[in-house]
Amino acid sequence: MIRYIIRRLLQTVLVLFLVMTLVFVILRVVGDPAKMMVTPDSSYEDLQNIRRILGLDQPIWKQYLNYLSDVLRGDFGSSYYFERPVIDLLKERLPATLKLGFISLAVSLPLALLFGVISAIKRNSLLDNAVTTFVVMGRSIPTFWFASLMVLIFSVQLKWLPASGYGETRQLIMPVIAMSSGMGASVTRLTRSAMLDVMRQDYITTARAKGAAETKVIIKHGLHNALLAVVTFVALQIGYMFAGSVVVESIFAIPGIGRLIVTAIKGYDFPLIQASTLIFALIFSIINCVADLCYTLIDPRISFRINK
Amino acid sequence: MKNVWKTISRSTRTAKFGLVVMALWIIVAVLAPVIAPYDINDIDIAQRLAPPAWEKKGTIEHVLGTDQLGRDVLTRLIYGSRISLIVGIVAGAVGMVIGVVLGLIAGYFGGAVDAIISRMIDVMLAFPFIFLAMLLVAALGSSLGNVIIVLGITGWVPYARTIRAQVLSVKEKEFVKAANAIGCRDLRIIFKQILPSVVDSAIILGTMDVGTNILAEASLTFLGLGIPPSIATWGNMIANGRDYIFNAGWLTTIPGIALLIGCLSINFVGDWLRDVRDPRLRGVD
Repeated sequence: MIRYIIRRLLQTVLVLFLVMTLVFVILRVVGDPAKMMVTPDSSYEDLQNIRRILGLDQPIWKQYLNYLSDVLRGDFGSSYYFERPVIDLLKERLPATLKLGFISLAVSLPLALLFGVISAIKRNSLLDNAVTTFVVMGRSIPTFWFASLMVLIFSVQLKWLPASGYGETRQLIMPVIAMSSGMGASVTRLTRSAMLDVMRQDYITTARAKGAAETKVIIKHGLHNALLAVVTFVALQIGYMFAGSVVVESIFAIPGIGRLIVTAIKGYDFPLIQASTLIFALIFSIINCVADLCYTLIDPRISFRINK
Repeated sequence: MKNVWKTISRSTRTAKFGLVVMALWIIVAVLAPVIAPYDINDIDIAQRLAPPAWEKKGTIEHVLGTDQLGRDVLTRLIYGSRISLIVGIVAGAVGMVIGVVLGLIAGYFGGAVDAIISRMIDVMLAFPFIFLAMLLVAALGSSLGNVIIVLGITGWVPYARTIRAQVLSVKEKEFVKAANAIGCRDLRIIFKQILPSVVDSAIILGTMDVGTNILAEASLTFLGLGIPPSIATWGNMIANGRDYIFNAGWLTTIPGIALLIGCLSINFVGDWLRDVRDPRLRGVD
């Protein structure tokens, strides 16, 4: 088991390294931040000067080696735009994104599993139809429009909730709903179909025939097996949910990394783009890692194979 | 052709709805200059921010109202349908071609090629594609063509993953082994023997991908990293509506409803195709 975990961690490091390289290469090949920093009447020398100060005049492999050695020493450079160390900016902005993400997760995941299971068991009931409708809508509504629509209804028309901002609990309600609806819909859908598959299996009939209580059949025999299909998928969805913070934070003016990344990309702020995309990739990878470990815990066949 | 009608007539109600909407969508997009009530950039200063016809101050002249410059919302909506459709289909096709080819190669050859492609898939999955898309659009410059290219080259992952997995199992079938035994070249086996048995999945994924791309384009555009504001797209209309959300809600709701109905229809059709042709794909998107 330990060996499996170590191998999995090494894989994660490799993927993060590749992401880092990919972002670095894309930025160097196609963008030029120096052009964003000069005024129209600056001379070519000014441009070259800025490039030299930013270290962009060096050959790309040299820049890359410098970047790598800096990152390994924990130095992510300074933001061009904010003129502050990137690491400080991330420290300031990360809590808001994580808070929003984890609240959304805590709200939507249990509900999604619960409704997925209920709607599979009570197939074609009123509740199932309602759930299915929600799921279908959830997949087709763009988050940014859904968020705007909520603002229109709850802030403009009904005046119940503040349209944007961060700090009060009331201000978190709409962002959390916007952030979690997409993931909630996909997870509900998959849980439902996984449960429908599982509940048709022979071992469920056997469990019932033995006289096991129906709740026990559903939870222990049904859900436990359905979860196998759900776990890996959920991990991906959680990742996408975090990615959604880009849109949600922009709409509700939340000072998180998602909004930071949009500013950084629009301003060709290389150090900031590199660091903040790396943070997102890290969040993504941690979630996937945890999911894989959960998977081995849920599925005894896999942990058996690993331990052997 | 007769078969197609037969399949459609037996389809679910939601699928029929989806097909009708998609057909209408295509007709509207093609005939946009003919059916749009105004010219795309006609400005009616006197009628700025006129509400839709069903509201108190609305007029029949501008059925869906006008924006802050007095441009007719219905007209822009009709022209916007072209952009969504083009982006969705062309980007989907680009992603499909790249993904299917990579999936076929990875699955068929295995070994080092497979390892490289699989790592590429891992990287793409470890990195929310919207960031990559934002980065690329920012770097290449925002234009319709660039958005299509970017969504195409970031959208290949689901195809490659699914096709690779299917090739792995098809490869072991007798007809492939037989082709191998009689000395067919690899390329022939890949395209003549294996491709036909995975093409269904590719088309189903492709249908769903059209919807995904349309939403992605709208999101990118909304964030200001997609199609420039001078072009009427549904994403731009919603982004523009945000500035007037307190007094002109229709600028936000109307293009959003179009987007919702459009994607809903595509998903309905995609789900139906999947259920009919390949139930194994359930839950892959």
